[in-house]
Amino acid sequence: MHSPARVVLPKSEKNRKKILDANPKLNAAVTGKQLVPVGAEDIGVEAVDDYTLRISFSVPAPYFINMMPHQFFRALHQKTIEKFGSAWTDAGNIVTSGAFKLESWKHYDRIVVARDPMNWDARNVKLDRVVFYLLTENATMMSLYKAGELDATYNHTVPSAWLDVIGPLKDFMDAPEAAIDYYNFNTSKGPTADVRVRKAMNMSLDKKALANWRHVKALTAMTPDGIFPGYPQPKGDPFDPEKAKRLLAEAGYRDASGNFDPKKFEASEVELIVNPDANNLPYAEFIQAQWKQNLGVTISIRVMEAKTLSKTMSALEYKGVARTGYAADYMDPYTFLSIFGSTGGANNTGWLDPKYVALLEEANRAVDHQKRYQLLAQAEQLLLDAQPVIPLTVGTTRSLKKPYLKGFYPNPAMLHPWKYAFIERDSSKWDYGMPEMGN
Amino acid sequence: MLRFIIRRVIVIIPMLLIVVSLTWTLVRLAPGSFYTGEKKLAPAVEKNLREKYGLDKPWYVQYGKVLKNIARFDFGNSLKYEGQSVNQILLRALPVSATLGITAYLIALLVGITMGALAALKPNSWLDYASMTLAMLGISIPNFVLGPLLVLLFSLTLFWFPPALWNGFPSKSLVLPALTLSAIYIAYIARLTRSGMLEVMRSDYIRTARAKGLSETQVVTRHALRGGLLPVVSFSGPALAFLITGTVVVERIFALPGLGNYFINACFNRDEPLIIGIVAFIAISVLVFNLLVDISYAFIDPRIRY
Amino acid sequence: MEENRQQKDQIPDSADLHISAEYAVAERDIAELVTGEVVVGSSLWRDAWRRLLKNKLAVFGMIVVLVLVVASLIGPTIIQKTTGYTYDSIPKDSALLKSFPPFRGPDGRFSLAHPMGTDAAGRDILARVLSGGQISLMVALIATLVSLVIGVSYGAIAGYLGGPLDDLMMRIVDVLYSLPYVIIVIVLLALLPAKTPTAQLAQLFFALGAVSWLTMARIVRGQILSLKNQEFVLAARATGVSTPKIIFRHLIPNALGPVIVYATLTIPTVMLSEAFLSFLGLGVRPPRVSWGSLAAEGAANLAVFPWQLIFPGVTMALMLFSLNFVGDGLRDALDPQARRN
Repeated sequence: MHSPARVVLPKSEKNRKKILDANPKLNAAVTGKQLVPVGAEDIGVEAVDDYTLRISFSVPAPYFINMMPHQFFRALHQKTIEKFGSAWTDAGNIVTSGAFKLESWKHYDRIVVARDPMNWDARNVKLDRVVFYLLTENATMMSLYKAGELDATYNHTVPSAWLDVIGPLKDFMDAPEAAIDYYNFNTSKGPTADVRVRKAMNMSLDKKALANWRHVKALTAMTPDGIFPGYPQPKGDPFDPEKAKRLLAEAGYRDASGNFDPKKFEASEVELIVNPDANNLPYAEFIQAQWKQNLGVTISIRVMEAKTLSKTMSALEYKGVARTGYAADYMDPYTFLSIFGSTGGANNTGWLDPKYVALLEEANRAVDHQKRYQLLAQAEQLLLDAQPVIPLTVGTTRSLKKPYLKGFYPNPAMLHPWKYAFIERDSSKWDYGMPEMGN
Repeated sequence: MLRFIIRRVIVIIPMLLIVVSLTWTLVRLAPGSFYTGEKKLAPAVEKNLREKYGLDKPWYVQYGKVLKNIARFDFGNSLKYEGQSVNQILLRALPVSATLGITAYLIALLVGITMGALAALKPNSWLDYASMTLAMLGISIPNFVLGPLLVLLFSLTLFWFPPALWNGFPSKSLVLPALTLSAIYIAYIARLTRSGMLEVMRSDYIRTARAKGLSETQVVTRHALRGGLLPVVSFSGPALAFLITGTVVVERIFALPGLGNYFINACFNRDEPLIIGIVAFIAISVLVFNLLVDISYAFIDPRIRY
Repeated sequence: MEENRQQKDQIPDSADLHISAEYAVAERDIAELVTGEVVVGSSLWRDAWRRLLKNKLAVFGMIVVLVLVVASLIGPTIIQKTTGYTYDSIPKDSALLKSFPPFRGPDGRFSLAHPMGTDAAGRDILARVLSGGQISLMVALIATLVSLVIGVSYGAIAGYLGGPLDDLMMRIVDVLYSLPYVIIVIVLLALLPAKTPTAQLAQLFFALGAVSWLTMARIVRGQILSLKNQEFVLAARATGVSTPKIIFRHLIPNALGPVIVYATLTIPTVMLSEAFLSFLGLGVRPPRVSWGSLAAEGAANLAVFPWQLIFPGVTMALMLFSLNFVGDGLRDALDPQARRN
C-alpha cells in the first residue's frame, strides 16, 4: 500500500515516465507548474481491506499488469520508512516480504541475504544464504569463477568477445533479453536534421554482421524481435549501401555528375559520442568502420564519461549520433515505444511527432488486445520512417553457473527467483549444459 | 624546530580550505549532477530535487554550508548512498585502504632498501645488476598488467591465493593486492636508496669517517645509509599518503571496498559531499605526511636546518 | 643571501670586465678546490657522451629504444603497404571478426598474416602495437620534458631560496597533489571540448604534464636542501655568484643523479595515467590506440586471450626497461664526481 504513494511523493526517487502515464492524476500534477504532494487517494490507489489493493485507471492501460514485477510495486513497510527516513534501506532497518532478508550490504564489496524464517514459504526455500559480490571488472569476476570462489555469475557478466571461448563451455547460459541497443540522432541540427541523411546512415550499417560478431540478434525495429508474442512488429529499412548513397546524393552531397561524393559530406559536423562502459567502444569502432567501408565517410568517435554524455545528450548538444540503450521495465512493446511519446525522459533526439503521440494514446485506450497491438505497430512504423534512431541489437543476458547449482535460469526480464535455487549434492544429478527450464 | 612544526600545523588549515574550495568549484563545473541519468527529469521533479538538497540556494549559502560542515568535521550525507553519512563511509573504507597500503609499503621498504643498499655497497657486482634488473622490472610492468599476471599464476594456476575480494587482515586475500601494489615502490625505493647511497659514499664526510677509523659496518649504517635514505624519505611522504588513501587501479582489479573505489565512483556519480569528504581527508593526509617528511629530514641529515 | 646581494651591488662599474673574468676563474677554482666540482660546461656533455658509450647496458638500452622508436614511426606504413592492415582496419568478412592467436589463420593452421594475433574485431595486433607506440612515445616525451623543466626549476628555486617562499611553493604543490585528478579531467574535458583529434591530443599532454612535475619538484627540493649548505655553494655565494647561476649551474648539476633516475621513473607513470585518461575519454580517440590503452584492454581479456595483453605489455615493458638502462647510464655519465676517474 505504501509503495505507489512513495513513488509519487516529491521526496522520493526519480519519477519515471511510465509510472506517470499509468497514473493520470499524478501525470497532471507533474506536468503542471508545481509539484504538489499527492496522497494515495489522489492517484486511484486504495486499500480495500488488509489483503486487497485496488488501483483504478482513467484509461484501460492493458500493460499495467505486466508492470507489477517492477521494483516500484514492491510492498514496503510504511512505519519503517517513517521511522528511519532515508536510512530505511540499511541492513538493520529494512523490512522485506521476500524469501530472503537483507543481512548486510557493503558497497563495492558484497550484499548478503539470508533465508527469512518468517516467510510464508520458508520451508521450501532451499538456500540458507546468498552472497552477491559487487564487482566492476568482468575479468575479476571470471577469475573468481575459475578459482571456484563463485557458484554463478549474474546477467551481463560474459563479454561478447569471450564467447568464442566461453560459449561452448557447459557452464554458459544465455537468453534474449527485453533490452535494446540503439543510437540517437540529433534531429535538431546539423546534417542529421535531414531525414535522408539519417536513413542513409542507418541503411549503410550491416547490422547482421554486427549482431553475428557480438553473438546477439540484430534489432530491426524499435522493439526487440520475438519477445512479445502476437505483436505485428514492423521492420525498418534493410542494409542497402547503394540506396544510402543515392539518398545522400539527394540530400546535396553529390559531385558534378550527381553521384554521392564522400568529400562533400560534412563529416566533421557529425560525431559519434559514446561512454566507455561495457561493450560500447567495440560497437562504436565497428560502426565507424562500416560507415568508412560502405560510404567512404569517417565519423569520429568521442568518448565521454557517462554523466557528461547524459548531459550532452539531453541538452541536444551533440553533433550527429549518440549511443544509448533501453531495458524494458515491463513486458509490453509500449515500454520501448513510449520513449518517443514526449520530448522528456529518454527521448534525446529532438524528434516528436503529434501523430505518433496520438497513435500511442489511441492504442492505450483500446481494450481489444489485437487492436491495440496493431495501433502500436502503426506508431512504430511511423517512428521507423522518421528514423530519429539507429536500432542496433537486441540485448542478451549471459551468465555462468557451476553444474551443481540448480534452479537458476536466464530470463528476458532478468528477474531471478532465488527461492527455487539450490545446491545439488548428488553429482549424478548435476547439470552439464543449460538446465531444462521449469524443473 | 618546534616553531617550524607549529607554523606548519597552522598552515594546514588555510591549505585545507583552499583544497576544499577548489574541489567544490570543480565539482560544480563538471557537467551533470548526482541525479543526472540517461532519462531527463521533468522540470518540476528536478526543481523539487534541487530544493530538497539545497541546490536552489545562492552559491554562497551552499558554500557556507560546506565550510560549516568541514569545521565540524561532519561532511553530511552521501547523495548516492542515502541515509549514510560521509563519515560512516570513510570509517568503513579507510581501514581497507590503509591496511593494504601499509602492508604494501612495509614490504616495499624492507625489500627496496635491502636491495638498494646491497647494490650500492658493491656497485657493478652481480648483486648490483641482479637487484637493479629486478627493480627495473618492477617499474617497467604497470600494475594493471602485473595484477592480472599474478592472479593468473597464483590464483588460477597454483591456486595459492584468492584472485580478489576483501576478507580483512590478516588474510590470504591481502597477498596478491599488496604484492601488486608494492612492486613499483620496491623498485622506486631500491633505486633511490642505491643512487642516494652511492652519492653519499663518495662524499667527504664518509671519507672523514673512514679516516677516523670507523669500521665499514659503522660507516654504512651510521653515515651512508642515513644520508642515502634522504631521497627515499622525500619520496615516502606523498607515496604513503596516496597508498593509505586508496589506490584506484588495484582496488578495482581486486574488488576491494577501499577509499579509492569509493572516490572514483563518487566522482562519476557527482556525489559532492562524499567527494569533498574524501578530498579533505586525502589533503590532510598529504599535508601531515609531508610535514613528517620535512621533520625527519632534520633528523636524518644534520646539514638541514630550518 | 642578503650578504650575497650586497656584494654584487658593490661591483665597481669601471672594472667590470676585469672582475667578471676573475669571477669566472674564482668560481671554478673554489668549487674544484672544495669538492672537486666542476661547473657544467660544453665539455661535460662531450665527456658524458663518451662515458655513456662505454656503458654496455646503456648502449643496449639505447639500441632497443631506437629500434622501437623507428619501428613505431615507420612500421605502421610498412605493414599497410605490404598487408593492408592498419590499427583500425576491421575485416569485412565476418568470419575474420574474432581474436586469432599469434601466427594462426582462420583455419587454425600456421599463417604469417598476424604474427601477434588479432583482437576481438579481427584487427592486426602488430599494427596496433606499432601505431600505439607513436602515441605513447610522444606522450612520454612531452610529459617527461614538462616534468623536467617545471619540476626541476620549481623544486630547486624553492629549496634554495628557502624561507616563506619555499613554504608557499611547497604548499602549492601539496594543494595540487590533493585535488581530485578525475574531477579535474572531467572539468577540463567539459570546458575545453576538443574539436579535432589533434586538439584532443594536445589536451592529453596538458592534463598529463599538469601533474607529472609535482613529485619531481619535491625530490629536487630535498636534494637542494641538503646541497645548499655545502661548502662549494657557500663559497660560490661568498664570491657573489648570482642566485640563478648558483641554482642552475651549481646546484642542479649536482642533483642530476636523482633527477635522471626519477625522470626515467616518470615515464611509466605517465604511460599509466595516459591509459587511465583514455578510459575517461580524455585520452586518445578510438580507434586510435596507445600502449597503455592496448595493455588495459588486454588485461581485461587476460583469462581468455592472453596474447592481447602479452604483446602490448611486453613491448611497453621492454621500452621502459631499456629507457631505465639509458637513464642509469646517463646518470653515471653525468655524475660530476665520477669524472675524476
